[in-house]
Amino acid sequence: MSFWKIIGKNLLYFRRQHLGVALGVALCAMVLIGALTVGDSVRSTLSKIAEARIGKADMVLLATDGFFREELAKEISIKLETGTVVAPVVLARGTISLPDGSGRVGNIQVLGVDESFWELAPDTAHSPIGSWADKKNWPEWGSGFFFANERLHKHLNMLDQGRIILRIEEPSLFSRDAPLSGERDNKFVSFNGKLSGPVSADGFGHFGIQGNQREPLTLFVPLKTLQKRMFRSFGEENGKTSFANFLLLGRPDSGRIDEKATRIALEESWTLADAGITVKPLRDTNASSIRSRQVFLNTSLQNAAQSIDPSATGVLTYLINTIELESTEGNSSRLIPYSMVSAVDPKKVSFLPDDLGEDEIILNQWAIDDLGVKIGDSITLRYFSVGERRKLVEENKKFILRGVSPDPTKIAEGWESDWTPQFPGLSDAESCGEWDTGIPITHKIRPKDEEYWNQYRGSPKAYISLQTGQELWTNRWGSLTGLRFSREVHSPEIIEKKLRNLMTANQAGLMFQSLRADAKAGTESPVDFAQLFLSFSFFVIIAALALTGMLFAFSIEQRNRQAGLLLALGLSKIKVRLLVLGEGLCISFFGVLVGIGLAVLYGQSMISLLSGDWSGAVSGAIFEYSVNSQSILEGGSAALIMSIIAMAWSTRRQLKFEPRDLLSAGENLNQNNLNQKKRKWSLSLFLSFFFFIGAIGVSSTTDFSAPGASEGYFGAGAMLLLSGILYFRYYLGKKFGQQTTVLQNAKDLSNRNMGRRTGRSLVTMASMAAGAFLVVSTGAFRKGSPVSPENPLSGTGGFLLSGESALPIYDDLNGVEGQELYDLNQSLLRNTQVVPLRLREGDDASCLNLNKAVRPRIYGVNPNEMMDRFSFATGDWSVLSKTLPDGKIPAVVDQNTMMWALKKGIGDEIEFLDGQGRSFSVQLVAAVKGSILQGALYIPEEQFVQKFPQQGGYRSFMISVPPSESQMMHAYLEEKFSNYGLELTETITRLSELQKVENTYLSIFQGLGGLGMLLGTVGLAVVVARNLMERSKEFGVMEALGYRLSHLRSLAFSEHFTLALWGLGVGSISALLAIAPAILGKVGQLPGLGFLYFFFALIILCFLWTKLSVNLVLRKSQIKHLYDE
Amino acid sequence: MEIFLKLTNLSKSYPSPEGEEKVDVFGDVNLEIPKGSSAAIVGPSGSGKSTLLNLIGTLDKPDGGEVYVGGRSTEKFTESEASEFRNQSIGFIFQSHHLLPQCTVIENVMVPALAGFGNLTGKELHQRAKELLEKVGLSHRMNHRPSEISGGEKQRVAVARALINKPDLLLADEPTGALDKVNSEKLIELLVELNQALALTLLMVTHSPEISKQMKATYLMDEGKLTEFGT
Repeated sequence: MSFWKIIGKNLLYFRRQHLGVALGVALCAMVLIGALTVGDSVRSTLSKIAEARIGKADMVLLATDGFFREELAKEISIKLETGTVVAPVVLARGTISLPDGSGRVGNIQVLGVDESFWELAPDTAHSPIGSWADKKNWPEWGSGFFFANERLHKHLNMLDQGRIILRIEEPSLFSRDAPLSGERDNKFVSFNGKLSGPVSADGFGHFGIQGNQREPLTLFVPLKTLQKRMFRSFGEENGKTSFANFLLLGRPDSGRIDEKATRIALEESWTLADAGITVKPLRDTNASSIRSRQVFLNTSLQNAAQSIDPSATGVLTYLINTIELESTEGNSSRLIPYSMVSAVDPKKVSFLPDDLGEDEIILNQWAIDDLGVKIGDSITLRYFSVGERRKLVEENKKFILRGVSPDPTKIAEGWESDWTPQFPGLSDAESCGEWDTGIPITHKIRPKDEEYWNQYRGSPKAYISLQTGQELWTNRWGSLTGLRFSREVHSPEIIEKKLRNLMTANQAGLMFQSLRADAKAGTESPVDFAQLFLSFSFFVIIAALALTGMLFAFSIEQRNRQAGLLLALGLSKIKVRLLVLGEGLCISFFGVLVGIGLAVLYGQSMISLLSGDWSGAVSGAIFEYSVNSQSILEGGSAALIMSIIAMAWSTRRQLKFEPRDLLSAGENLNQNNLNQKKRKWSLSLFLSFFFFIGAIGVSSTTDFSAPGASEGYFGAGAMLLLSGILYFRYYLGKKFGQQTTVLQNAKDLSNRNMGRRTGRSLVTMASMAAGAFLVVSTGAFRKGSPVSPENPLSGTGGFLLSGESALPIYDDLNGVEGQELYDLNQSLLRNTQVVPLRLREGDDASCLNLNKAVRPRIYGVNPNEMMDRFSFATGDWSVLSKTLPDGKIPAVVDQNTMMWALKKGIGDEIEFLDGQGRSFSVQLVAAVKGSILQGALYIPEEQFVQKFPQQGGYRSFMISVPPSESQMMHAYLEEKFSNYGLELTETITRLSELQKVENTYLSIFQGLGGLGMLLGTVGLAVVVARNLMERSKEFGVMEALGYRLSHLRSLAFSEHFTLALWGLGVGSISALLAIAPAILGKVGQLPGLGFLYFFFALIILCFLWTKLSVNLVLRKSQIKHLYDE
Repeated sequence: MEIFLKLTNLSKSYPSPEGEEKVDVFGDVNLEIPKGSSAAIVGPSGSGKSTLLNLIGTLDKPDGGEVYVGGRSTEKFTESEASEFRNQSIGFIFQSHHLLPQCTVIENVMVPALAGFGNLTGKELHQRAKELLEKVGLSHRMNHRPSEISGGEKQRVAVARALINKPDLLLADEPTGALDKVNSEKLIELLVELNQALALTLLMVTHSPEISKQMKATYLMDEGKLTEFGT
């Protein structure tokens, strides 16, 4: 007979007893493995979503704020491995409307793509160029049809081949926030086409570069069609419109792109033209000038150019409103309207005196003659600078006329002044009347001004020192409009070459992003659902383990004599213990195997609930069930180990007895003898009173509707729970355990028995109470809509509406100027405040996105406009005005986003790339509590525009409006800004959506906790059975003394059911106090009827299990046990 | 003299471990004990003495024959009737005291009265229990727990408990088995005294010849037969 054979024999002989133990292990394994498979399923589904989103593309090259030549795609492609596709894409945002005005979809993603794009689709066959296109009778790609993805198609809800009107913003060479950026209003391009599609996920319909959960609303437009419309103004000079703003790189053969080789290919391929940089030979001097299509030279370009030749001459030319001579005779003054003035280092220009002072000016002869001024006269320059929200602020500077410069040379048609860059709306104007500079023309333009324009175009009429010019006109885009190099030293070609070599693609605004790596990182959901479900299943796991341990111990205790015999026969204690645990291991292994099967069912149920009743936790995502073998292995091993530990723990005392005791007492060995010393129960009473007073104190001093009421009452409830448990302990000990009252009837005897095993009774009652309390009171943290959303300190910040537009709005909608520009009814807007926010697109880091936000969205906000809005957990809006060391940018963030989506804390930093590809840090300095600000970082607008100077306007809006006008304003603003694709939502709706996630998590916790509780009632059955079996001799005596068996059953039932009722009673009363704010203060959500059902189910189950146990143990007479000596 | 306990052709067997054959404990046992008398049953271990007592006390059922107590046959007793019979007509004293550890001495005495058959309740019950404890010499221990008194005292508590419902028949199954000589003697003295004072019919199983001698009749149970051994 070997060791394992004994185990085998035991397993076989005691197989019935072991079935219960194995069931406990199976339940534990089911929950552990099931929870892990939920995590697997979420990961697998997110991975599939990501795969559908990026198709076969691995990388993307983005021109963050501009456009590059479409040819760059080919130039990169030929340097890469054969089979690599580099698809040029134009990405824009736009709105769609139906010709009859019956429908409109705002804020859609417009993708101009060619065939190469479709080659990177997850399954090209399903794309508009694939074989399925014929099956679906789709028109040929490129024939002028637009293709919508499924989501957009559904939104449009129209028949195929119906006509739609697409409206997009015509890109500007220069940020429309900038002075002299052209016309004030956006330039729209509208064109129509017939609709086809829908393009499915397999056909690349889900394409997007942001790792968001939902696919964007996308309209696919043939690249050439979009380019011709969108870049029409770019092509006015040379007819070239073939620009793109990103490249999609991948391998249709499913191979992976070599990232390093691709970066090298880009560095070798990009040209200055892709960055809008030109080196222009000057007409009047033997020099060349570096120019940028963005008018001002950015820092990277300026640094690179100056490193070629530090002595290069910087020029800053600016359009000023007037050059004025103040009249000495009266109020009138003579002035020249709208002129260019150049600022330059006087030492580097022959016609300027080397010592030109900071307040000295040189006018050309034409201006001298026009103004009739003489040297030494005071000249005032008036000019616009652009303030906040593109407000033009006229400023002035007085100069002393120092000298005269020669008149410019005449400029032939099609040429420009050497001094003046190409200002949009100005340089291409035939006459002054055609100027479209974006500044109001308030001064009369005289015929002589027209004549000057005709002859000299934008040639400056005045010169000042570069230092003064830069003091007056430097802005976030740069401080120079040109940089001159002598052609004697550097030919334009050499400069171009050197410049090109000195600058990186990043500095040119061309940035690679690893789409696949980001997508992979994004699928690592910030919420680990495996962990989440494991923690939510805490009660179930504990219940299963407790059940396993109890049943195993119970089974082993029945065999105490066997253990005693083995010890008496000379086996060591360790060996006997190993025998016991070996048996446990075998049972556990069997239980785990059963548990694996159950886990699949459990996991599928959880996934089905996540797609159904609990879909609020995952924002409506539909998951596919997926199992990873590693999860089975890990979960199964964990269940095995935990079960063995539970078994070892529950049987730890068995072998502490002598063999003689084991042999003689058998299963009754562990009975507590009641020879224990009298305990001091008064301490329990004192502590119970102390916690009771605490609970009363907290609840009476906390208003039901006050902020923090939920937390306060939860604390009060917890104290009441402790008080109840401690009182029960006292009650057991004092009233039942000790003889303070004389038995009056048999019921007293039953009560007395509760105090007999104080510890066991207390654990039974306390676990019921704590479980019921936790499961119900967690509901106290369910969030409800704020009672007053107009309250600035609520989660809405006092804004009733918020929304985003597809196209930026540049002007302040609160000011008269902006309201007039957009033809808004000023009296309607009298009580409305629109807080605009600048938006840098990124991943949604709110709880509505299950993907990890690799690059969260950034909003630029004016902290003064947000002051005293929202409730902060840390800091407030004023911290955005503070300057942080090392150029770090302060950010306000929603607490939930910070903790869960970003996994960060206050003081932590997040790295971003600015508009020129330079890295910068955003430091989290303040956290807002539960708000609509979830999902993004909020940085000072001032710093936002510094980092992203080319990104103009506002696309996000928070609107404060009286509740009575909210609905009207919602409709009015959406209508007025329909061209901009403005879509508003009620903030309370948005907040509810966000809160729904949190609330659903609580529901899951409560649901699984409830399941654990229900399972825990099985434990009650085991405790009852164990108690009764230990007292079988006692029951025998009572029978002998004349007690009917049915009477004994009734007494035993009453004793144990009372324990459960005490637990449920204390737990539910405490829970009611904890959720009092929800019931009486309308804080959060009222618990539903589910809780009543839950309680009824608990009571019924407790009743049934207790009844079952009592009836099983006491089904037969116990008299025989009288002779078990 | 009125016969209070009468056994006629009583037989009992138990199934063998294999379950196929029955093992006879005894067969055709006849016995008559007058009211208020006392009798001892002696015999070797395993001879069926305790089994016989259990059959008389309706703790077990015979295979054949009948038990008459006070002229009533126990054969047709329902479970409830058997319980009531045990509670109201019989007092049991076991080898082990079987006191409830969670109850005090006086409460242990009261326990049988709480089974729901008699009318003894409240103060009356308490008073009766107190009187019984005085009778067995334990009034000073009435609020003690079983764990706080000696083995002999426990057994005297068991005697008091057996008497609480004023039974007609006292069945004692080796009541001194766990006691030393001094305590044994004291207990037997008490039982004899009670037998005489209360006119109780006493039937005792014992190994001790000395104890059996104090009974009015002694019977030997051996090899499945019960024979009168002496009076």
